[in-house]
Amino acid sequence: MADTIADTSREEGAPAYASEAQDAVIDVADLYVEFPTVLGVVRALNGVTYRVPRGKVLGVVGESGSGKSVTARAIMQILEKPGHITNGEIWYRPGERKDAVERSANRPKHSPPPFTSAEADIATLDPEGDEIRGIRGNEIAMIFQEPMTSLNPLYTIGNQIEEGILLHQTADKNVAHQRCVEMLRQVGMPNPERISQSYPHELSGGMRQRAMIAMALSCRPTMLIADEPTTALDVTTEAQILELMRELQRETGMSILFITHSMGVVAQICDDVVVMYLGRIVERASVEEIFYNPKHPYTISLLRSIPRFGMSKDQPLEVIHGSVPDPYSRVPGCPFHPRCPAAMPGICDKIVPVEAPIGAPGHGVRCHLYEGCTPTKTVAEPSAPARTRKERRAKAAADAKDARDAAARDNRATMIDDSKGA
Amino acid sequence: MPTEDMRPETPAGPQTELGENVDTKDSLDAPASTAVDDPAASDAAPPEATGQSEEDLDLDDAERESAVEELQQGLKTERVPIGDMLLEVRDLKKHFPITGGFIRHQIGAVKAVDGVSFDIRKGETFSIVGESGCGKSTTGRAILQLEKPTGGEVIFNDPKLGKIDLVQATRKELKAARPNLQIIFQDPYASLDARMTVGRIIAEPLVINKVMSGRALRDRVAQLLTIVGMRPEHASRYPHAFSGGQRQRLGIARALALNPELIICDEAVSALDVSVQAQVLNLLEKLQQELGLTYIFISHDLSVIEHISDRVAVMYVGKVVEVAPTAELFSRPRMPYTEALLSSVPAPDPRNRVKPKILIGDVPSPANPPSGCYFHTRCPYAKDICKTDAPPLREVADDHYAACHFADELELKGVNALPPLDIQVPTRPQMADSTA
Repeated sequence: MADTIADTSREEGAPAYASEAQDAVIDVADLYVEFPTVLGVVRALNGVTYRVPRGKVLGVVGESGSGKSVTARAIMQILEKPGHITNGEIWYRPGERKDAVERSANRPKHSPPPFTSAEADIATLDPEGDEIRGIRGNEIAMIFQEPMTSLNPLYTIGNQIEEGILLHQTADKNVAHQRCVEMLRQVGMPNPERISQSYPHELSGGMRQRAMIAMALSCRPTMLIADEPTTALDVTTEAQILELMRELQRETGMSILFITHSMGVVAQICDDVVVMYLGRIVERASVEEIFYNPKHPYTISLLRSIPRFGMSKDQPLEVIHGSVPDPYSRVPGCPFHPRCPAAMPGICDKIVPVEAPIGAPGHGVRCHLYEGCTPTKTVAEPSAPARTRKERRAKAAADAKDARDAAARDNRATMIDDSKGA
Repeated sequence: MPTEDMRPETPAGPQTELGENVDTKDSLDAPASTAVDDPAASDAAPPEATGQSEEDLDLDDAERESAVEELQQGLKTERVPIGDMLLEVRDLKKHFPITGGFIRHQIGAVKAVDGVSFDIRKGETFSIVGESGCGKSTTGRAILQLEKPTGGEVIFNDPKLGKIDLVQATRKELKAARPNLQIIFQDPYASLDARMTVGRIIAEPLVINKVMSGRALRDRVAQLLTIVGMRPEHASRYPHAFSGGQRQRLGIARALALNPELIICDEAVSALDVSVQAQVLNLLEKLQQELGLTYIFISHDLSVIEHISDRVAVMYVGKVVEVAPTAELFSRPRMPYTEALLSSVPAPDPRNRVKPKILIGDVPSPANPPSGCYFHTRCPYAKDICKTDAPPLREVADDHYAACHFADELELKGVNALPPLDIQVPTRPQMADSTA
């Protein structure tokens, strides 16, 4: 891993906190994502800030519509159209110098250029540009919820795993195949050679999810995003997959961003937890703190609303009234206040709380019940960084265009050379 | 509202008229019905304006209770007494044919349900748990004759018809018995017709069975909506206007329309968000107490099962492998599969990170099940006898049945009760210190 000596020569406009965040793999700062639709604008993320620490598992919990999957998709730059990032930064490997690591000397002809594995603001990258392609699938890999829909039914498992390896790692098909079989063995597939020849429909749900994990890990990513990887699986298979992920994480030391709605799964696998509600983080803490010392009314209600083994049968479950508001509506003030048992009229329905540290280190909460969460003056919707961001994005786009032009020139040159040769 | 006259076949008016009545809801505000006070009058603010539309849809308890009392009045006649045998399932089988070859003849069968037997008493919650493909949903559907069983008996103790075997029953008998047998489906988005108003959806069972019409029907729909905690005026809306939890409540209201004895909840809370799941579970429990309902609760979520059931049946590859009272099953399972299942549940407690008993391999195919005990291929305790002899489901303790050769010898581990959560949801503080 690259050295992490403090890099003072940060370009202007880079966030100050990034320099303190050198143990982080991903540093998401004040991220806003919107989906302008016919029915109205869906504000999926409203200022989300978190970082994924190196070698740890960060859990993102929330109900449907909380924006937990959108955060992950924003990191990969695979937001579905018309969704787009409107504000914020996603720093990949913050604080690492550009020249830190050089990758793959003998890279295949048509793959993206060797991406220097170093600091990059993913939010500014072109979603179809070379730079993000060097990261996506290679440095940051992702597992999806539905293993059936995320595997191509027309290609063998082997084909699909090798595709990524051939694109990012090596041009040698034999090496790629060996690598693929080795990965399948590593995820506990019986008879990996045969599995690599089979098609997705020949495998069971659990096996497919293992194949997905093998595919995600085939390029030895620095970070793995697991978007509800066990939701579609049975409990026994879920236990297998969770155990497998825990093991692989220990062995490879990668970071995992684990997205789930299940408090049980969070308790079992995560080191740190971020609780999301309506596109905002309402509480963050270590897993121990979240379960034993939760502060936000939402977190507490959530914990109390799930049935626990050994709970008295006569005791009804705690109910959170109402349900998640529809995505087009905008809740003024604290997003949870319409359902909150502790909502204070005049405060919670007017002022958006800010995050304040509470209790143990790393424990933060956004709720007016706690000191420091009520801003002294009402904070307007942020607009300040937009200008600089726009400039940055324009510059990035221009750079990308130059690179493309250069590549096209090179291509033409080689084509001419080829034709001459022929 | 006179609920006694619900059962007798009131000669129903033409259905078109009914549909209209419920559909065009402008008539609904006029009859401030006996059961339901009109809560809209007191609530001036339009729900959407504040962004808390969902909150306003819930009723307060007083209104609901009066509706429940009303309904209870109507239930006094002709019910199976609590504790009596309600349903006896004997050797129930459902095989789906596999066809193939030159003339598409049957070359095999998927034995989705293969010889399932259990009894259900009135007023209890009987749960069926198992992995996907184990046949739990098919069992539920076969009981209701939504899938015609290949064999076996389903003896239902109908309050009017007496004990009838639903498998052998004629169409007429089945139609007479069906109002007592209802189902709530998993997906609240797929199970409500998007082109019918809520009122028509809930009224449909009453219309089809010609129970009531006109004003009585409207009142009944309003009463049912109130009972599931929704507002009577929602009858004129369409399902898309409601969230998942509310839709599931509409599904419950529809199931309750004919005063059933038995409701099959087929994964009824699985598709809901965590916070909404609790609402629906509590509602189901409350309705059971108030109306003396019997549930067959089909789920794969063991923590939900543990919370709601009185007795639990564990299914594996089309067979019931263990049946026991809930507490007993969870604390002292007698079948290794149950043990593995229980240990797989991720406990919501980071201090309780136990390594699950990992089951090797996958569930065998019900088209080609292994010999002997179906579980022997994955069982850590399997011996030679397991490969050849299928163990029968036998009573191993009081009211505890297990299908395992070594049920008496094995010391299997149940789940640990989690420490109770002693964090309270904060309540509204006194507004003294800070003001905005």
